[in-house]
Amino acid sequence: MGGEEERRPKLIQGNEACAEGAIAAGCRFYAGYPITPSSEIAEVLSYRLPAVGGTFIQMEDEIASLGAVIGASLAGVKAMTATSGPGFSLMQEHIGFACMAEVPCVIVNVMRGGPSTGLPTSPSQGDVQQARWGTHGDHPIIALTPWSVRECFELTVRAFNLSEKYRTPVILLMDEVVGHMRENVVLPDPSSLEIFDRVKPSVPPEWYIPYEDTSFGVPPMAPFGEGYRYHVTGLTHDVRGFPTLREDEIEPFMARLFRKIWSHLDDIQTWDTFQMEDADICIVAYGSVARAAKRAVLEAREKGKKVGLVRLITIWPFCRRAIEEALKGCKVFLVPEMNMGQISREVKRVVRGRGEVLTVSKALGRLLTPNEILEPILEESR
Amino acid sequence: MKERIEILASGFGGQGVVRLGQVMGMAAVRQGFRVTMLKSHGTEQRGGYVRAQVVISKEEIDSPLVEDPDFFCAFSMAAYNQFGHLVKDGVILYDPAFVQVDESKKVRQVPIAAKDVAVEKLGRAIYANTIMIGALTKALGILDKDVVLSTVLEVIPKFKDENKRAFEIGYDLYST
Repeated sequence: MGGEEERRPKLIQGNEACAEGAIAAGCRFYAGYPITPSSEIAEVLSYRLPAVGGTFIQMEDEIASLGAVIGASLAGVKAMTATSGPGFSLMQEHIGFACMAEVPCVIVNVMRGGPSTGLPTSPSQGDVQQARWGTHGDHPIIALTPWSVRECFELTVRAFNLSEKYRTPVILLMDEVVGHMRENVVLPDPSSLEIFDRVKPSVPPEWYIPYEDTSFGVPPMAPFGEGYRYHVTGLTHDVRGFPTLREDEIEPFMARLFRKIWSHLDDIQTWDTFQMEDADICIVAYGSVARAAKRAVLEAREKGKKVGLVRLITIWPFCRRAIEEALKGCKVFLVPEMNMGQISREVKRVVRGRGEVLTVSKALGRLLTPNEILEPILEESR
Repeated sequence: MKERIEILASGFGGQGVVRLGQVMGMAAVRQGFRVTMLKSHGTEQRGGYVRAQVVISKEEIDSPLVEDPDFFCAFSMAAYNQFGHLVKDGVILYDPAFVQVDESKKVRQVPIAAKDVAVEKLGRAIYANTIMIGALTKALGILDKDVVLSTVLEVIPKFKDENKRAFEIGYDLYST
């Protein structure tokens, strides 16, 4: 990339922008098993990665794909995979492993209709709670949801930065609309991007304690192959990485696993607002649905209704503060989703009776229309 | 120009519906417009239903959905039946080889005999979508003819002479 040609607006798909974002973020390893509607990410990386000295592998399935990604990351290479619902289900075990062993990696899920093979070519937001709780055991997770082609690029870069910074798997939750949508976009100059690389140990191998707590909560990570030998396991482990059953080791480990995310919410959580200044009705939306919701805000305003939009960019950990701030002016919340009501549960949990939460939950394999989004509010005023 | 211009194209897989959307979108981007384009299709590799939704605007585009198309290119009867009702005061361009229009519709319906003309003048039906692109370019009126043509030749790098002729034929087939 670079040069004048790259700065001209192009008409590219979200999936292509995601692949370019990965390259710009420093991703040099991709292992995956192609699946609609994410396949273009693999397609682009299959020729872009070798061109920059990276590695592309088509694996035998999604379980092996994430296994390979974790291995590459432990060897010090930024790595990712991309899939859709059925493959994401298969990856859950390894997502848990990456949480436990604190291996940075990016998992892209371009959501399609489910459950099971569902609606392969149609959009959905049905994997939102799966991204949060799909793997077993208590664990924090970071997940981001882009709403435009440019944001597919930006959030892929951000996903890598957050995974490197916090040594955690980061899930980029796209949907079929965002993945396949073509949109005019000028991709950012890669040299203008802030890129975060994992912190490596500053001590010699014999002093290295791989899971030692730090004030930031994230231990430095030594790449395999540079002389640092340590143990990596999915078992609950002590600071040296060896399995433990001791409460005095389990407790601080679990506490740190959560602390490293929860004490940095300011850095991790982002959301956007539109016309919220004087709003008394708040639409909470994310991904492609937020685009229809933005139009719905404009149409509602034409009808004299003070509607605003809170668009979630970080979807996990859930942006409680975005809702708390909206609660200062809004008593009605409207949550449109291409699922049967997954984020509306979170909104209800935060609102806790301090307002009314209305839902537009449709898992029909298509994007919601602005009119459908407005239906519950217009009904209310009748 | 309206705040947003919406184009809908639909037909069977293999008729060049997505290609058409891509060409119009790219040409619009080259002329400084904002563009979104959605493609929807069934699970089949070939023959299933395909739809392209293109929105062209001078402003940033929020919803990429085409709900009130200004131009609807119907490549099949199924497409016409499924999406014809969305057109409220736009224009329907249809290929009479595949579509029999409902004369009672109160909107302008323009036959573009893309398939038959492609076979007759260029020897192969595959040029039908380029003919439709030519007709749509004239109908749209906001895109520069040469820019669209050069985009066609870039997106479809084969048979340049034939595609150029197909485009010109289509452009002349549409009368405003």
